[in-house]
Amino acid sequence: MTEAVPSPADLAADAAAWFGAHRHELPDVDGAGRSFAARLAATRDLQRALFDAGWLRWGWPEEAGGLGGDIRHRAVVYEALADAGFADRSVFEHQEILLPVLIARATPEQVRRWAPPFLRGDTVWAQGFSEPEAGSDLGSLRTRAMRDGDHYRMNGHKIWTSWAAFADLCLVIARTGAPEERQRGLSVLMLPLDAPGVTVAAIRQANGHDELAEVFFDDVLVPASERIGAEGDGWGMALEILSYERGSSSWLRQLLLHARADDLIADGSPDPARLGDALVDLYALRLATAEAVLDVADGMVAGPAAAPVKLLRTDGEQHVYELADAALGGRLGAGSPAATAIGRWQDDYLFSRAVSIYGGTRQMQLNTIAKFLLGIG
Amino acid sequence: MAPGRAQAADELAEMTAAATGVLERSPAGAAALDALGWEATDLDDADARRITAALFRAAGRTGATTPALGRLAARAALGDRAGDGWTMAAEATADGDTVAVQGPAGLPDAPAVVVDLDGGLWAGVVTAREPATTAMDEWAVVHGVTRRADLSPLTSGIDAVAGRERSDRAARFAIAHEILGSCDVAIRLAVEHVGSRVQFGSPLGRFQAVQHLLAEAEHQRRALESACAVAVRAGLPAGGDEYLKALAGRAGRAVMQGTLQAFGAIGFTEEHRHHRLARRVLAMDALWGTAATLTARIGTRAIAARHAWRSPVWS
Repeated sequence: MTEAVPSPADLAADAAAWFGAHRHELPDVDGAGRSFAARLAATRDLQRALFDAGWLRWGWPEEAGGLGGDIRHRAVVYEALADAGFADRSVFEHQEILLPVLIARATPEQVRRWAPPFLRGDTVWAQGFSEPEAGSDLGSLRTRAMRDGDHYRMNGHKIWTSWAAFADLCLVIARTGAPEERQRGLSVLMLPLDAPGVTVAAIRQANGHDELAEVFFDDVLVPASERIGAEGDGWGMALEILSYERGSSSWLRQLLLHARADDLIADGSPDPARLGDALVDLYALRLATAEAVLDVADGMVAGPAAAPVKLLRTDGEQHVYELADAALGGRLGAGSPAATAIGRWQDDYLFSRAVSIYGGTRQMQLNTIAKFLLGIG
Repeated sequence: MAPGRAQAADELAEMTAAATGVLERSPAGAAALDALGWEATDLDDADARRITAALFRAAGRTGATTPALGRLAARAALGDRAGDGWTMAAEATADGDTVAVQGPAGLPDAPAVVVDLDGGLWAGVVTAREPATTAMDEWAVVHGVTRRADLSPLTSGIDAVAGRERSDRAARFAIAHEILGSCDVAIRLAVEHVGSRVQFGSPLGRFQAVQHLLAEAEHQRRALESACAVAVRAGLPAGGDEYLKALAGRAGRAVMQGTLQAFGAIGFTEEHRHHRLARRVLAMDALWGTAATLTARIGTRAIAARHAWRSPVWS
């Protein structure tokens, strides 16, 4: 470690000063246009510039390409970035969901090999969880990874895989045990999406974009060295990943939603009472995710307690974009996203309809709260 | 968990449990505060905020009616100039010489009531407008009356504005915790109920509709709990009190409606405890700005500022 780790407060001040002075030198993501591919390319450039300047290295361990510190350091840098106009880093926000678990569960060699390129924006990762027959019931997934000498032979089909059409690597949860073992027979493997036998088919979404995809595995050979953790660790890792997705990573989303609220105030005529309601939602989300960030910094894994945070995110996001629709004259549900002048609002509004589905549906979050937090049922 | 944060959380939970026990056993009013050894203090440090949070969450859990809220607000407004037992009105409106006030419990019994009127802070004695006729009337909100001629000036101008802002922050901090306490008990009782009440051959809690009903309520309670935890840890910044109070009123109403739904008709009887909790939440929402009023004010201010305020959360 070549630099002493500053306190989060000092880092926040330094980041704010640097971004204030240098933000015009950073790649312009908003100016990249409407296509996801164009925005992704610009976001990669942004990620690279921020990594090379050191900002996105704070909060990660050295073996991952970091400079030390913890999630609190990342949280304050993300906030300074949002203040500088970079509240949305798209696929790279996935780092907050996948990297903590990778760092905790992978071997040091795996972390050194995979993490730095991801942090720098040189690689994009996808997360292969859901399947056509295993959405909410992830424990019944069918993708098999059968041990074959020094490899696993993978066969199966993933769906709703975010960014798979643009990703380099995919973290896949697959069945290495017998089907009757359900969750106990699951393991996690990392594989390149250009490996022989892998086919990625993009899914066109209701908002006109193709962020999601199906991924088909046909006798794909994955070296056993690419398994993360031990055989059978997959379910526990999946739950940890989901708790990061639902909990602390929502810190990023509240920054984006606050920025969008500012955009809405500038672009439209929001009803004051409804705007206030949405801002109280965002206040609740911000404070809950701040507590979640501190819990992670204290070494806690949220587990079921992340479910209420996901609901706060769902409520806040849907209310903000419903308000946008009202404030912009009800135009967001009509016309082609690529053709309208208010395209970004349209994209975001349409996609916000799905926030109550991905990362675990609202109904699954309610089940989790009832069963694990209230002890009902 | 880092020792400091874990220790603080444990201490708060213990203080709240202890305060709950005392309030359950003590008579109402100032005697309960004497039993706790509680005095109104500034909320400038985390220890003071924890003590205050514990008291008010306990009050919400037990339904104990004490003059703590008014005394806290008066102390925040005036500091050491607040006399022993002084309390503060939440609202005051004048019609000629008559001044109508609305405030927390203890208003008519206080040696002096601090009133925000005509850009200044004043002190005087308040008479209850509607004398309590039943025990149920000893609610948290009191309507009283005084006369302009009987009010003594305390401060005006910038000092009065600052004092009012401090008292708003203190009162809203306290009320949010009291609503949280009421929500704690409402959900606990509802969970117990759905675990024991059998219909169609199963406890109600076996039905997913009921599970989701209470899960939605718990989600609201936890949102308020997180916000209160941040307020204790990091304090309430200027403006943050409006958000916290708005969230508390909204969450409290949602919890009360969801838990009432779980109880069914029995929850809508005078003998059932639920309505006392629900009435307490409504009363607390009425003081120092309802959720509806504050939410509209938040939106209006954001439009005027062309910016959505973000609360400090770390310190």
